[in-house]
Amino acid sequence: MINTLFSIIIKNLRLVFRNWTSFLLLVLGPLFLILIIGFAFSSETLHDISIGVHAPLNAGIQDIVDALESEEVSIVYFHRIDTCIRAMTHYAVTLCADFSSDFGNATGSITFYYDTTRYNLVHYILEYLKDKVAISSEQISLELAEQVFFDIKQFVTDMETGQQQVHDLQKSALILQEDLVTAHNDVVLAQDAFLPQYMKIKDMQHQLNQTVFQYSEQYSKNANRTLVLADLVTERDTLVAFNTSVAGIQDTLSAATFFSNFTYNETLFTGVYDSVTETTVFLDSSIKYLNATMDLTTLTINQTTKILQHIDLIVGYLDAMNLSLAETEQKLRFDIENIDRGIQNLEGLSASFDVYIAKFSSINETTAEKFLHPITASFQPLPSEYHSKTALVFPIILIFMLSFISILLSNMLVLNEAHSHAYFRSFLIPINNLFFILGLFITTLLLIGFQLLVFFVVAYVSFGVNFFMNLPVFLLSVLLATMLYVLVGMFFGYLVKQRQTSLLMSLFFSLIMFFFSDVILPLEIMPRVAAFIAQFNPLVVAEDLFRQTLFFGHGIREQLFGFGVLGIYIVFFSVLVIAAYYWNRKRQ
Amino acid sequence: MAEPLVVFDAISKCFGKKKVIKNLTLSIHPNEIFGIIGRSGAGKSTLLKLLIGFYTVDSGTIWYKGKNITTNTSFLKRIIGFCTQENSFYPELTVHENIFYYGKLYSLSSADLKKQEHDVLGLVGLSSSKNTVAGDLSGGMKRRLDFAISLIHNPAVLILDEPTSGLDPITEKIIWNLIKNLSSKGISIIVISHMLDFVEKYCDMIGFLSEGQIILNASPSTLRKKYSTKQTFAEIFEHIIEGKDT
Repeated sequence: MINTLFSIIIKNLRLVFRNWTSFLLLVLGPLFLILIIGFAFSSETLHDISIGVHAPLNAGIQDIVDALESEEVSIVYFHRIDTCIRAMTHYAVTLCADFSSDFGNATGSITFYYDTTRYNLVHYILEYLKDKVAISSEQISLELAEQVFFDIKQFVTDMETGQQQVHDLQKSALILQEDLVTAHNDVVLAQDAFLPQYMKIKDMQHQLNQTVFQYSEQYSKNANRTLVLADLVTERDTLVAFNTSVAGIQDTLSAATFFSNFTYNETLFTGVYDSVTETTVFLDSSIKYLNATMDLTTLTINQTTKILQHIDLIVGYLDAMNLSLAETEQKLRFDIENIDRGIQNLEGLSASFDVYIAKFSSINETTAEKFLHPITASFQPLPSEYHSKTALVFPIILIFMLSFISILLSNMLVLNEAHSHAYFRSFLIPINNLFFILGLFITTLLLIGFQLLVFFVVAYVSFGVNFFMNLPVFLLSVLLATMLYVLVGMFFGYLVKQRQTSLLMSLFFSLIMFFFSDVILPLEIMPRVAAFIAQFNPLVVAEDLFRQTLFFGHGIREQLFGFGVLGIYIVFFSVLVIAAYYWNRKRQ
Repeated sequence: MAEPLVVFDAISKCFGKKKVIKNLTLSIHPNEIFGIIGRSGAGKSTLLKLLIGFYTVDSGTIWYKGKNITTNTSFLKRIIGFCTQENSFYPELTVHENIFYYGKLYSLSSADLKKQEHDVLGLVGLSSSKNTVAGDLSGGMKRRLDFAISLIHNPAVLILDEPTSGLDPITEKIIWNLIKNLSSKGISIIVISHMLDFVEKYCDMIGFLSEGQIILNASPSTLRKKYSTKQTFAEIFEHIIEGKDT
């Protein structure tokens, strides 16, 4: 029994492999299909995406446009969004980005319009856009934004502390300023108090010098005792007054301890004071003595000379102090001017801080979203009317069904005819053979037309597909697609003699068309070369026609490319069918 | 003897370098049954396709009632009716539908077609089976339907390729009688058959085809006289075809 079965299998295999077309289809066909599938599905990267952009004039969109644009994605600018949308429905652009009228500095809102009927591309497009404008990580971004704003808040607090410190500094400077002004006033007062005494002492110095000189002359002669006595009295009064002045200056100097470059010499003043006091006591005794004796002695002269030496020392010292007072006053005045300018600067800084604090104070956690999502993206599917998912994939279902039915049915009808015993008789009838081709072609169209009618009724009732929006154009596109696939099936029917081989070839052709289309993956995902070829795939062309006609109401004029390509294919396959018919006829 | 109806005068046909029909001359007279016999590969199929206008001749002339119709294949197809070895009709259609389909292809008007249908079905004896699906007919009836379809356009010459192939002996006889009957109705008939006994019995003239040429063309009685030593017609055929005659 096994031997019998084995013999049958061997025989079957021999029959299959002895026929070269069967061999090609069974062995090379699957390999070719695998090659086609591998070629078409070897990429997962989007390419040839064109984003139409509409933005107000001078809008700051460059950053976001740069983010969207890449080697695979190009940007096309439109003056009007409806022009862009119209271009999208004609596949001139893949989607449209409408920037809001208040868009500026990369903040604002963008509305993306996309063609939802291209169901298999939508997923990739949305993923791409979300990735680019960081919508997919919204929650994470929000948390990060809150953290950023917390940091900013902390920064504001720190700034407020800093401002307080500046205020304190300002106050200190003001106090210092007041102190310096007071000090300056003190110095000026000291100068005012000092200078008259100082000048008086200088006069006294001069007067005493003269007195000493006079003494040295008068005492060397017989002087008038009355006059000498008078001089001594004057001298004594002068010394008393001098001591008073010195005491005043001493008080002033001891109080003004802020002179940096001047050291108050108390010993010096005490010496002067003691000498003057001693001289005054002596003069008092000399005056008493003179009043009693009228005897002039050299003692007074010596004493006066000693006083004079002390006065010279004091005056020298006071000269230095006078100069120091002047310098100190000048320096204080300069310092005061500087601190005035510093205070002015601080006031300006404080005002700036006020502005910044006001700005930052208006920020809080609720503004995090706005901060982190400066660009609000929304997505608007087109067409805007509601279409069920089944309705959206209806063009795919239609072309898929239509192509397979048309190819297989026409192929089977041709094969039935060509393998019919009656077929040969048709060659003997004196009419143009094209009648037979045309007759079979129209017959197939009628049969498929009936099937499609049933299908359309079901689609209308169950899927909610609205055929009536653009019925004539839609029917025309269906007719052209059907004609093309019927011709394809007829071509293989006439070309290949064996039934199973012919059916297999038709099936392979359908499968190649299917895999090399955007039914599974959009063309934008396929490798560029594959996508370029696939855009001329009649299945893709027809599907686009159905979609644009059904969902966007496009007319013939707007779809000239699609209708034109189908027309060219129809002419091409018509020629092939006629050639195959005559080839078949010759083979009879 | 009457003037020939159709004359294939020195016709030749080549496929590539191979000359399949070589200067073949054949005259068909009115009401005549002309039998063509030969071995397999002698060129019978090619000759048939030349006769029915499926192939065009490479050289030679085709005359119809003295008129050159060599290049007018459309006319040739109008005067020729042809029955293939297998029945050439659609078994899914009824007898009437088949008749009408082919009648319309010959551009017959409905009225003419109706009359012609009545005549040919009557001629082949299928009037009562007009509405029967062709596939349901018996083998002999199918053959007769095929004759009827071939006659629907009222051809001058009917060409039959192995008309009794696959039929039982009784039906064979019926069909040959029908052929004779058709001939008697004024139709010239060319028959290609291996049924040598029937050919001898029913044909008026017999042509022996060998290597693309009619090597002998004679009536059965003439042949019998010439080869009187031969017991059967098969022996005569063998003798002529194998060139023992020369």
